[in-house]
Amino acid sequence: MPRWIYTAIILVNLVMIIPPVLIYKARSTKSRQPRIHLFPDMDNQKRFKEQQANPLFADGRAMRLPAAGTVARGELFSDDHYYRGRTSDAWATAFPQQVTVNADLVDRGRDRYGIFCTPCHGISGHGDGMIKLRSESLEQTWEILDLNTQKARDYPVGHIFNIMTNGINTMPPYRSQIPVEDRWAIVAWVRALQYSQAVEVSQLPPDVQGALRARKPRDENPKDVMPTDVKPIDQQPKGTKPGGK
Amino acid sequence: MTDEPKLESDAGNSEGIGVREPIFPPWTDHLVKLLGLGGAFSGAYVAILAIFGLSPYMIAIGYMPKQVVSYDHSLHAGELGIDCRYCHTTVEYAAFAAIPPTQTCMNCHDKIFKTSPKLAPVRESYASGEAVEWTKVHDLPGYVYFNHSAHVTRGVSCVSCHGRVDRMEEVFQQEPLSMGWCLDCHRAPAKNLRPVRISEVDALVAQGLLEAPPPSKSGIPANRRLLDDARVTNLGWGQDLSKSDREKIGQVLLAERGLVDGGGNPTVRFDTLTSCSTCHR
Ligand code: HEC
Ligand code: HEC
Ligand code: HEC
Ligand code: HEC
Ligand code: HEC
Repeated sequence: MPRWIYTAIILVNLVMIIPPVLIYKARSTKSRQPRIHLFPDMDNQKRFKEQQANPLFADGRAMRLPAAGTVARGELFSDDHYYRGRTSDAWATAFPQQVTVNADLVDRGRDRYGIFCTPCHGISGHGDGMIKLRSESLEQTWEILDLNTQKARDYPVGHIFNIMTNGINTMPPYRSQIPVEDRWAIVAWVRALQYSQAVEVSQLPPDVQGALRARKPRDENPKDVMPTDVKPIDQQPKGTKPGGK
Repeated sequence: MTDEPKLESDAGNSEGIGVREPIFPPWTDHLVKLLGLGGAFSGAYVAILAIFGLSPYMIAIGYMPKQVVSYDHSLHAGELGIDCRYCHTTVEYAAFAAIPPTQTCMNCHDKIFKTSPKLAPVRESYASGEAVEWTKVHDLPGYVYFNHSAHVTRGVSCVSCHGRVDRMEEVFQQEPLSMGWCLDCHRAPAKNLRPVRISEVDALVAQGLLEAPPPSKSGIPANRRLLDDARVTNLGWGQDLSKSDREKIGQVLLAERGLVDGGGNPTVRFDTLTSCSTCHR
């Protein structure tokens, strides 16, 4: 066979390597272009998905808010105790009747506290969450209330509920992020936290008591495996964080 | 055959006159075979190219639109450890996973980086009430019904469908979201399932599939902490478990939830996962 045929075969084979390489590249890299619709049929229909933009409305949103001055059925929220944490003229000191305080509620509260509160208030409520720590290292920090101070322990449950609903000082409102029943659950967990951090040593189970009394001060024993969470409140000056910050 | 016209060259040969080049030299015989081979090969080549090149894994994966704010999941959800549900609040209750409103960013960013140019669109939106225009990354065709809460509350983690978002600086589409992909999981969901109830954790511990951790100083019971750890928003969970263990865990969970009966046969609820009206309603 003539030479050129061999050359042609080799060339064709070389060229044939290009498409698979391109495909492999496209498969393994990211693209700013949206996906390809092979059969666009009814993929994009003339309707709006959640949170899409609609230029027809002045605010550009396809999802509409209720018209001003109207109240949807079941959304009057007239129960002051449940929705605002108030009884007649003061913060409610007890949970509303819609909420049953039991282990499930506290469990739920712990779960939700973990999602929404720990970034700032920290796992045990001392105001030492990840965001607080980061803001300190960025030197853009602000005051975060230690939930285990006397001040916070004196807040009635209704007041704690209201703080979550409407915010206070530098704390933003969380009403749009946390549903009402979950806010009450978090109140229950905050109470449990406060209790756990302020419990009298004599009220602890005997084995924990013994371990606590036998234990060295923190500085001498940095790899402390003892229950630091149950540090008795009567042994620390009021309003300070453990670790003496 | 006699009246067939004789080829000149044949004539020349027979009569012993000067030899002429044949029109089709002998090597063309090989060329025919070669072309046949090439034809068959290129057919297969094109088919394979089409299968790979047009598959949803090729044309749908990797979409990473440029967002107006360079919001970084690997920082917020990864490094700072903010739970997905802090921002995507509706995943557990609704079909769609809400993109957070500007207020959510301002929870922190009215204090942290409050003058950063990167956050200018967020501050503008906060002042004017206009929404920040995020570009949708994952977008199913309009005729598909998908529901986040149905998956998230049954222990299918975000990672199964969105990849390690907590390591992405910019979100991109990691999975094809094609019908075949949905069905692959709906036919055999076991290896993607996690426990969502204390009773399920207890069942797994009892069968030796999950190891109870040593008691912690916080005094929180072991099964409670296992459940916390397996939460769907903990994208790294289960990486230390082998594939076959994940599969076994899933089988136990399917039985616990009534998707397979005592004999290991799929129940009606399992079968509906692959019926057309589940996703096209
Ligand atoms: C601080 C708020 C915040 C947190 C926490 C967060 N996200 Fe997001 N997420 C956003 C914003 C804002 C967007 C829209 C911009 C974008 O796509 O990058 C988004 C987009 C997404 C998208 C793409 C949505 C689309 O358009 O298809 C996915 C998927 C996602 N997030 C998953 C997660 C997961 C999983 C986690 C938890 C590991 C998480 N997010 C945590 C704010 C957050
Ligand atoms: C819970 C607190 C929190 C929330 C909510 C939050 N961020 Fe952040 N964000 C931070 C922290 C802390 C940093 C700084 C981290 C660092 O660089 O050390 C940051 C940094 C940033 C940066 C980088 C700023 C710069 O100049 O480098 C951007 C952009 C950003 N966030 C966007 C957003 C957007 C958009 C949202 C809303 C979807 C959001 N953040 C919600 C805490 C938060
Ligand atoms: C079973 C697969 C699956 C799981 C699990 C899943 N997603 Fe999605 N997600 C999708 C699909 C599919 C879409 C596209 C929906 C659409 O276009 O209608 C999507 C879209 C989104 C969006 C964009 C908004 C929307 O709803 O269209 C966000 C944000 C998101 N997911 C976050 C999350 C988070 C956070 C989790 C975990 C808690 C999660 N997803 C779990 C499949 C999943
Ligand atoms: C990683 C596995 C996985 C993937 C991927 C997945 N699913 Fe699912 N899906 C499940 C599981 C598990 C259930 C719940 C089964 C149960 O407990 O009943 C479910 C339930 C559903 C349901 C509710 C069924 C019902 O009636 O309760 C719908 C609808 C659904 N999936 C649609 C989709 C669509 C559409 C896709 C593709 C975009 C998809 N799923 C991808 C695992 C998956
Ligand atoms: C688990 C969910 C699920 C089930 C069950 C399901 N589909 Fe789909 N189907 C999808 C998704 C997701 C797509 C979109 C794929 C894409 O984006 O190209 C789709 C697309 C389609 C399309 C359009 C294909 C195209 O590219 O135009 C048809 C037709 C279809 N499905 C028919 C069916 C039929 C018939 C059944 C029952 C045998 C069925 N589907 C069951 C999820 C499902």
